[in-house]
Amino acid sequence: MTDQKKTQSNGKYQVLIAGEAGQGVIIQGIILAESAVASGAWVTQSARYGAAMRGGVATSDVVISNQPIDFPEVEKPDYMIAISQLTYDKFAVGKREARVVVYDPFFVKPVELEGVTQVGVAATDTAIKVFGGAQASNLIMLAGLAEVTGLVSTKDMIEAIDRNLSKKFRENNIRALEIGKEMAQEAGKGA
Amino acid sequence: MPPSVDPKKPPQTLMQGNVAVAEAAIRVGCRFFGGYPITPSSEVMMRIAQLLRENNGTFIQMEDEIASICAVIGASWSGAKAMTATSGPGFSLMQEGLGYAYFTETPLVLVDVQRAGPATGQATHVAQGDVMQFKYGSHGDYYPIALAPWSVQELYDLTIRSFNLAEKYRVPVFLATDEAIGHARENIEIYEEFEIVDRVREGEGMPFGHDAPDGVPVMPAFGDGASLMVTGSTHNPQGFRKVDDPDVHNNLVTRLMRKTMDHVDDIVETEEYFLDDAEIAFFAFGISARTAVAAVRRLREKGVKAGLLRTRTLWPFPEKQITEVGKQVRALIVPELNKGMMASVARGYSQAPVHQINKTNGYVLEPEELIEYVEEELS
Repeated sequence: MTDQKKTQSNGKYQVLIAGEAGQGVIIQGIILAESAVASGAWVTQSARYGAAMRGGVATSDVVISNQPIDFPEVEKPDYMIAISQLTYDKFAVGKREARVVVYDPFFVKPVELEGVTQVGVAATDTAIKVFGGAQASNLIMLAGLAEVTGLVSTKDMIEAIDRNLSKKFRENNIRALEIGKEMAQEAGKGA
Repeated sequence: MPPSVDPKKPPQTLMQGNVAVAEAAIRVGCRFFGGYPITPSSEVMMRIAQLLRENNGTFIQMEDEIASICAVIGASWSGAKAMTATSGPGFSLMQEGLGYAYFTETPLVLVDVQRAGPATGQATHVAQGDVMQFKYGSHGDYYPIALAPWSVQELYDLTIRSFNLAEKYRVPVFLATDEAIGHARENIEIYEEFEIVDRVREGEGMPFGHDAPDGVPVMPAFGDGASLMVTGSTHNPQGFRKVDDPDVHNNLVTRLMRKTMDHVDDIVETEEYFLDDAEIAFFAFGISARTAVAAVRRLREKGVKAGLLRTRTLWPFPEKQITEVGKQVRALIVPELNKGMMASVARGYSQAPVHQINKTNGYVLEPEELIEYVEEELS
């Protein structure tokens, strides 16, 4: 799986995080973007969503580059996090652009995609089991993506969590990062 | 994005565009915000409410946008640098107050984070549909200033500039941004040292007249001791209503026009990308200029001599710059998130035919859409 790490791109990485409103898609994008800034990159983060607080497609775009970024949104994702069947079908299968897709099997039933590394991270199931609720599942997914792609470090993600999320849940959030990392490692061994 | 930035040293802060507006406003001396929340502008209000409390300023959430703009006007006349932030539906409600602010020469800054309209439209989706409303939103001959940032960094830069221009010319200044830039998060340099312009509160002359035909009068605040009267009816230099005197009306309307239009070289800012040998050129602003600069770079890689004229000022319109580019290229292409508002104005100045690329589905134009247009229509 190391060949998917960030050495292979031309210095620009486009990440699409796609799910439904209410799943923490946008905060995932913000944590990823802030972590990338800490690592010394040019970064843009943007989001597309409807007027509803819950439900409906929500996507978060993160572009990470070693150059100032002209166009700030994701055109063709290199990496994708899929947290709903609808967005998996639309972006991962339909457009077939991402080289790496990290998905949550609780929501997504994957199909074979030639040339695409697909990593299942059972974030929702695990979060419910470990924390008694699905809230931290987005951080498990993000840590999974970070592990597979090498885009950002755990240290930078923890600092971004400290800046953006409630201290009350700090321990759980950090534990979620660890879980995501381990799960992606496990999935990688099987791949 | 700004050319002065060293590509090897990305600024270490990630910030949302709307938040950057509030951070800039407080640093340039804004001490009053009156507003009513509306997507996609509300983060400006949320952040500045906090900053004003920390900086002995005043924040009021008003009952609606009509009251908001009136509160801002009142605050300005009490001597404060004042602002509000809104989006299309709120901007429409504010037009009466804005005409009053213009005619009474009241400095203020209004941030319009444009969303898909008309009417309530689509609150969370982007558009650039208020181009004409900035210039013609209120009735009568009306020459306000509208600036158009294209990045989070520039939201910071141009918020500062908006206040400085408002204070310098005693005019409402619009910061014409959009959902895509306002809600984006990007690297930003929060610099603390910059030029700050303050209105002249004491000095020669009357508060509503000037010897120079394009002059900016002194502006005492309520409480400064001047006998001050502010009216939206036609007024003489002292501020007395003169609703039947043809010369007073004509002189006032003309001076207000000349106050901005005689100083376009000071106000209008544009940037050129790859224009030197360009055969076709894009003319764009805001988020669509980000699309255009990406498209230009890729067209160059394909051997197409494309360039970009990017304007940071919507109004006054960059007439001179368009005229120059129009002499050089065989086609001028205006990509924008409306049905062709800037294109229709550009046609008045460009000798080259003006093409338009328009998108009104609530999403931004992507670089490949521009490239495709060039390859199909202009090769």
